[in-house]
Amino acid sequence: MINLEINGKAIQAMPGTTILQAAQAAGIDIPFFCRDDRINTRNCMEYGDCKMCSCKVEGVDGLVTACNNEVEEGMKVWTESEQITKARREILWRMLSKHPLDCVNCKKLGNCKLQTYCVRYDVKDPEYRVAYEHRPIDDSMDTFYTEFDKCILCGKCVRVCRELVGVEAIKMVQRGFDNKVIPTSKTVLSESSCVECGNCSSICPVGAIVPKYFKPYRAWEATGVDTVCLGCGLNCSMDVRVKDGQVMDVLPEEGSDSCNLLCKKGKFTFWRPENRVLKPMALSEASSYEEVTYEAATEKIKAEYDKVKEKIGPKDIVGVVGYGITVEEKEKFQEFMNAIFRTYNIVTLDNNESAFTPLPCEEDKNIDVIESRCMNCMVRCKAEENVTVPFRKVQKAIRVNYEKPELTHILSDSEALKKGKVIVSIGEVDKTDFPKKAFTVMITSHLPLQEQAADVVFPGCLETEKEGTVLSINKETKTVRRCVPNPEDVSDLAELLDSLKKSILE
Amino acid sequence: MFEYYDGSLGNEIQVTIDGKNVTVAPGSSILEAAQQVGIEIPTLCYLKGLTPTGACGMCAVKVEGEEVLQRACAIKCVDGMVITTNSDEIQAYREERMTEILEKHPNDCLTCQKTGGHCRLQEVSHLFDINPKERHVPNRGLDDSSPAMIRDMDKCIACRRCITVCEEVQKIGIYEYVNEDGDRYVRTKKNVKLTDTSCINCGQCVKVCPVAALSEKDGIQKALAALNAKDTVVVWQMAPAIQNTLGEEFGFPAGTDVTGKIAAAMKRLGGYAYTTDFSADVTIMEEGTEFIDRVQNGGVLPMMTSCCPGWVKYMEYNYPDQLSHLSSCKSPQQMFGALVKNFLPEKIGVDPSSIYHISIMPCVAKKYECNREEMHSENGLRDVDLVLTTREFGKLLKLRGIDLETIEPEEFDDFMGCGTGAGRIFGTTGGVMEAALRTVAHVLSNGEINTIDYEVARGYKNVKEAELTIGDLTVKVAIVNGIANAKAIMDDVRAGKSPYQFIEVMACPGGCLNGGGAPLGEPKKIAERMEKMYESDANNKLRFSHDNPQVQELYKTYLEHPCGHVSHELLHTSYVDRSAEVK
Repeated sequence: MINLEINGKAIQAMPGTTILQAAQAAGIDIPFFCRDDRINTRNCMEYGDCKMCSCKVEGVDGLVTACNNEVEEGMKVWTESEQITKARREILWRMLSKHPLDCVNCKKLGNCKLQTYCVRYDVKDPEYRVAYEHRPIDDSMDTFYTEFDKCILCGKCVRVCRELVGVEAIKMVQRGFDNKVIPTSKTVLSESSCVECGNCSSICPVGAIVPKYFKPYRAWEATGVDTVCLGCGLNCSMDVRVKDGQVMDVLPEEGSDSCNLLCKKGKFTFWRPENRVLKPMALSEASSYEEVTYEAATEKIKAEYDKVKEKIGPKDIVGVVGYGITVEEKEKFQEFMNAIFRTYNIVTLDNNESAFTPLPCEEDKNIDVIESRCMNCMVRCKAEENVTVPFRKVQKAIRVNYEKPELTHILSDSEALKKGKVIVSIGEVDKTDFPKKAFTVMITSHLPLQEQAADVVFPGCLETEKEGTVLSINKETKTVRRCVPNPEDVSDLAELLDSLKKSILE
Repeated sequence: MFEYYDGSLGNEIQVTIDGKNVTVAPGSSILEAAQQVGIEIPTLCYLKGLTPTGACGMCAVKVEGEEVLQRACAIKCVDGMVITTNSDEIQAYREERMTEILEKHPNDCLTCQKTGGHCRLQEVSHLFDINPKERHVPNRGLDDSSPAMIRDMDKCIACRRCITVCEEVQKIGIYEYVNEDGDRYVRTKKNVKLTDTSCINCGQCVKVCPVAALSEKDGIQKALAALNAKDTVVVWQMAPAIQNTLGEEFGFPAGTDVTGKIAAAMKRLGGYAYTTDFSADVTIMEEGTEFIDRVQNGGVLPMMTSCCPGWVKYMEYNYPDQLSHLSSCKSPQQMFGALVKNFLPEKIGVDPSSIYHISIMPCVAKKYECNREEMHSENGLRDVDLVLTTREFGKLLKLRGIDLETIEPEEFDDFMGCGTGAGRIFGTTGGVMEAALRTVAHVLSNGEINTIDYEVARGYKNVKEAELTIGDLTVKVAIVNGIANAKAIMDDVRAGKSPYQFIEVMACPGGCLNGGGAPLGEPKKIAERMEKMYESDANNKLRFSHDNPQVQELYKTYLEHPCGHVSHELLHTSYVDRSAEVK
């Protein structure tokens, strides 16, 4: 252990920790913009670009950056003083000199690091303004937009995109006052390799990269709920921002598997309340969905059940568990299938190892397994789009020898499913390959993309509307917490299954 | 302000809002009916329970049968009314109103005092995408004459909330509304500076101002400078009400007791962490002794509490001939300050002149009080160097990256860190009286009466009265909250027909829990805070001020006895006739 003093307080730290980490552990807040603990390569430890964390170390001339200087025995550090305040003000002035002062319209208001530090160091107006080239808002993506006029060049988005996500959709070009972040395509983001994971928007300290919220809200109006994403078997931790019983935004949270990242599904799409199934629906004779009452939908199932129950055996009936289902719900579903169809013939989509096959790496034989699980998720999302995989080294290898990885989808593959004559599915099924002739019942929050996939559809809950536990692919039990109430007329899955069971068996 | 509808007004009525049928109590406005079913109508000027001004126009809705759009806050529901709250016409109208406001509003949100959670304009403007190309800031200037608050009339959006609160709730009425050829704004009557009005600095207007046109005088930068200075020792104190309200700024439910967490936060910021609960107990010792002395030796009665600086200033403005009724005790804040600068230095071994004493108060008037001329020690040191409001302290913690939610509770520092339940309830109306009665009854009965709960002193009633028998003595007391209710009582006192011996007054409705520096709260929230505060009192092992071991120690080693010589030097004060200051 190394003994040092920060602001007159005696502190012990492990060798190799930075001054910033030691101070944080002791509860001393040192301001910074560009530091990101996740990007832990030697290269990035030395990033030290924003200089906001400059501190005074006794016996050293000038100020030193706390983020990339390691603690030393007997070191005496001061994190706030007149000299330091002056230096930090200079940095803020430099940032403000090119920053549009349009806070009232800024979506980041109240959650903006630049603003917080300006208040903290009493920077009311920019000391000087620099003429700069205004760049249009890049609105080309569906899920977020960029307004790089507001960028303070901390470089975090670029590094997260490159180092953690492994996509390199944005990059930094030029130097000095011309320094800027641009899409790698040099045009708009949608033409770059962006996979819309949104991790850049989660990390941006200012309002330069902002999600397209479906409803305006201010940061302070929302409260957070810690839960996990049910979009795939990884179950990344997330912080769901809720205002007035509605989910406004989802932020990645430090978790065991996720290393504080989310994919497009977790960040933007999986919890969206748009295009929800809110009423039971049945396939009409004209082959289109029409809204029906619960009774009518149940009646339809019952009629089919009575028709087939004598003719078919347990193997003809298949239960499908899609994404967004908790352990408790799965158990309930098993119970339901057994009670009605006397079958345990159930196929699950999540926790399916084959969906997460690591990519082969030709060039670097040492890397045969991509360790970070969240990256797999990213790969899985991207595989169809022929893009790329995480980690720069691996990425390079793949680029040379790129073959579309085999990411077989269990549903289209499953022999059991092909033989199915009656199919009951719960949860989200994003790629349905159900046999056409089978009678299909779905309990889902969103209609499958493939039309006429189901004969009867019941409304299901979103991941943010249920509580329970989930077993992640790493065999870790995680807690799912309710963030928002159910919409009107949409009951919990357990309740729905109970009432279905009751009316069918009557 | 604390009255709820009890169903006595008549039959309920039915209206239809956006296709939803709503049953409301008669007299409800359209806005209230909409809120009842969760339909959000934006407002800037509406204040629950007060007369609507309809100034902002954001709440415009369409009432079937009416040609022009109606203000939802001002129009009462009529049976069978059909209302639409959202259409292109309404949206266009709201946008037009918002553009008008934003065009005149300076765009300096970057470091504006109310930015990030306290500005209603930011919340509402966000619903529209309005970005005025040109702004015409009226340049009406800044009034920073008062040591307690700042009026930046450039930011005023003429919502008239301040006028309503000052006139209806506090009945002081220093503001007026001006409409000069469409240039609408609010100014003080006779257009004088704040220091030349009869403003008592209660801060209720600051609290309701939707923008930063009215704000407390910023103390954050001073606090940061003191914390950064290497040779300065910061000593903190925090009012009883802070401990049950600060949590709200960090998302805790209303009234949550976060005492230990604040102590930890204070220490993390740097300095010695103390609570004003301690000096509230000292106040009871001093004030109680003074009261007993007045009763037994024919002093001026009724005696009145002097804890509330707004109330003291009100007396100095309006009843300068009755000042002798006020207890000569300093407020708990100032007592604490005097002890910090005289008693504490020797104990903790620091030079008194290197101490910077910051007090956290739910109050704007305390900023004025700490600057009063007489509030310093013999050595010339100010009792209290800086006062931060609850909101400011919350902001300071956030600026320094301290999250109350995650911080582990700690204990206060030695010598002045112990407070009893009696000291805690100083933060609510009736609390000072109840705490005083506990000790006075104990002393007068020679320790025989040890009643803890005086239910008569609790609740929100504007004026509470009680008659108590202690031995052969009958004491009639009155408890007033909301300065508006003090006038009748004071007129009686002036006429010599007041039946009371002891009167407690708190200038803000509900007491310090709803003070001008506290987080904004609806009546329901204030009720929760009050409930939790009595809970904190009940959870404290010590319920009597005279049982506080540190207070006992203080008297044994330093002050000798209540109202003694040293006490008079440090803990008592005098008042000034200010009636001539009002222009």
